[in-house]
Amino acid sequence: MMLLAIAYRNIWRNPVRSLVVIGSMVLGIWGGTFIVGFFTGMTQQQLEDMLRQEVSHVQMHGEGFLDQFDASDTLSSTVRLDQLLSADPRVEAYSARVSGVGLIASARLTTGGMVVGIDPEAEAAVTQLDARMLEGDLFIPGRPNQVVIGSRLADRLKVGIKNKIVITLPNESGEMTSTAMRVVGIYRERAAAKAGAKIYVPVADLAAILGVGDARHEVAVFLRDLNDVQPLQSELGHAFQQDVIRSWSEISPELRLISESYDQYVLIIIAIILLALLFGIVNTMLMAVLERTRELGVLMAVGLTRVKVFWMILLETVMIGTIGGPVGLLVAWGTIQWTGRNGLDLSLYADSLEAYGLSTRVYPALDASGYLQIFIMVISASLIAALFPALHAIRLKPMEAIRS
Amino acid sequence: MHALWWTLAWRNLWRNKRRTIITAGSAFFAVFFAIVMQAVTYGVFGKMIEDMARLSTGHVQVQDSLYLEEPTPDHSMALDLEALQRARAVKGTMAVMPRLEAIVLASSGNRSTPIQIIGIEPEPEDEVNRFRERIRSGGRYFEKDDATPPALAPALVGSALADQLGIGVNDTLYTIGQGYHGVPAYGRFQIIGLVELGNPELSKRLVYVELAEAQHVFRMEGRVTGVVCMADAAADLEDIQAEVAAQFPGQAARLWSDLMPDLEQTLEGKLAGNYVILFILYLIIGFGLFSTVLMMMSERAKEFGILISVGTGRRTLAAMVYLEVALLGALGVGLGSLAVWPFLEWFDAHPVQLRGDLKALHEQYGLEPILPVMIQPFIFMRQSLVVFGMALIVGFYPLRVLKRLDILKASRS
Repeated sequence: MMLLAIAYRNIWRNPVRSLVVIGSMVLGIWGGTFIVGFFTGMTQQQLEDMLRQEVSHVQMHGEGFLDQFDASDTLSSTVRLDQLLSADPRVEAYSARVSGVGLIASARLTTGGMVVGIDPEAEAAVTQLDARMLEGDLFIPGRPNQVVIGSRLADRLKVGIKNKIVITLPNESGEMTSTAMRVVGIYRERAAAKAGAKIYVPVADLAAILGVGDARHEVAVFLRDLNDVQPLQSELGHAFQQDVIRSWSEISPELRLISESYDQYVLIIIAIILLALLFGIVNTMLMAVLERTRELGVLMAVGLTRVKVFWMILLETVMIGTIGGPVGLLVAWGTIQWTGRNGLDLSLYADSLEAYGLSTRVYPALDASGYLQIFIMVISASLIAALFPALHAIRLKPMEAIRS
Repeated sequence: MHALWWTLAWRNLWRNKRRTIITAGSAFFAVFFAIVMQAVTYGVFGKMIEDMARLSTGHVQVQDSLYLEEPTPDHSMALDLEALQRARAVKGTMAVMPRLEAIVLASSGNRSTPIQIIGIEPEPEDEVNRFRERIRSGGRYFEKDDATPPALAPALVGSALADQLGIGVNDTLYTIGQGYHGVPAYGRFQIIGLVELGNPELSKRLVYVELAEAQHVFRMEGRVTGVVCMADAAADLEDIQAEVAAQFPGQAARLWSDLMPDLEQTLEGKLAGNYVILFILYLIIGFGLFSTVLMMMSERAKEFGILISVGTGRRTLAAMVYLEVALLGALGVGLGSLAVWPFLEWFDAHPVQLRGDLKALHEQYGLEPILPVMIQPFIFMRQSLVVFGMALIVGFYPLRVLKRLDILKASRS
């Protein structure tokens, strides 16, 4: 108890010094928490964008279709699927598609890509394709052979609205069919290296070209709540045993790994920051002990044991930590709340983020356990930092210390 | 500036060695951590670029000036063999390889899919991409003196593509595409091996054939779509670009960043996040530096008080203390950047191993699951300058203290 009182008084005897240590702690907690919040926000946003625009939550395919993109590998029953999904309250939207892989050619260039037959309204509800249109329309009712292509493909093919392209696809019986189509719309295409060219045509048109009639190759489902993914997947699995049903994490394992790779990266960054913080605190505390050589000598001379001196210095650090910790957390919480609401504009550094399909605004976010983790890490770092000066203090010889 | 100030500042530093070591220590660790952090960031990025460049575009690629915009056979270039030899002699190039690339529809049985066909010179490509080690058992690489030459032109197929088409070694692959001047190009190849390309996207669409066969199929005798240059790790890409370009007058030599704008943008995006981290690291480092200087000033209040009372001008004293802080900063930064070097070299030789899913992901893409570091002078220079700059700014704090110092209080403290 006496030690506690001494330690407390010591802190305020030299407020500048204590404030400096408190300051470094606040800064450390703030910095660590903010970085974690920043990356959490960035990752979440990336995940949401990718789920919304590309992957959806659950996808169903005809058996074998994913291996060979064979037009004859359609879903077992589109009608029953329609009934089931449209009645399910967990489903926000779904889109049934026909698709094929083939060659896309303009007068200038031939390239490979995926041709997807869609119902524009269903597709808009699932992937927000309508919101991503840059030019033209997502199909004009009543016209034959319309196609909507991505902005990057349009650049490569050197085509614009009203130009013609030719798509060549193997149909249901494996024969090549070529169809000339007119571009009616161009959508903003993300530059992710992974995505090959994807072009959209009305579902009925493509079904006719491929000769699949009313059958469909894939259904993409977007749910209201991510937690419903597993139950829905297994229910669909029972109902449609011939089809392949995959959740987003199976469709795109990279997506799950985006967050996990960030975790390890963030961990390394936090380690570097904690080390930097550790040395900052060691330096200040060591200075503080050196400055007090004489005083510590006197304390030891009047009978304070070495163990007690050791604990006194550790206690000082703990107290400083209990002041600095909450303040740091509060500042961090405030920063994350504020930037989380207003977003952090990175366009200064990366104009190209937008082209990559990412927003240049990052909205940091962090949950309670994140705050707690950082808090514990910083407090432990400061305790470790206090050990060194405390050990130095107990090695002092009282007589020499007093005379110094 | 008086020589005396320098002498005094220098002597002051060593009057209290322990304090000097601690203060210089904070600059030391500051520069140490800033360099480690940037070495890791650039290391990860450099490795990504390296891996992508090796399999796809190369670090520098010579092309017809129109090929980048419209990659068609019509925008190919005539291969000048003498220029190729000269380019191979350019200092800093590790490999220079002519290639002919085209997108065609490939089919086997009744299955077809668009693929990218690449005509290569087998030996130099194997040295860069180690194809021989990547061939699935049962297959083989292109051999010059083939004991049992295949009946058709030989082809290596990406393993994922082979699985998708359901084909294997000795099967025939048919291709339809567009050749030089718009002639239709029909190819017939015998598969001699399936190659594990690591990157699943590439593995799903790449087919390798010998350059001469590709030229024959596309009616492009003596022509290529590009000459791919790989550079040594330490080489300056822009120098190589300029020198290689000089060997191929009339053609365009392009950097990987122009050839793979997507990759560059991805990296730039990640770099933006890195700036946020760097900024926070600088804040913490700067504050550490500031706090040691602050402690130094409060510890030396008495000394300064006495110096001013006996007649030292406040300005003179201020200049001297500023010099001291600058010297401390220079000392710490210099030693720090020296000390970090063997540390990084060690991590270069014994890289951090990634764990768990991240490791699996790297392996799936045929990458080593490690955290690479980049050891380049520019990283050392830049971070040393930043930290030294911070020391110079922190040095203004003692000036303010000295200006306001109450000598009576200070001398008695």
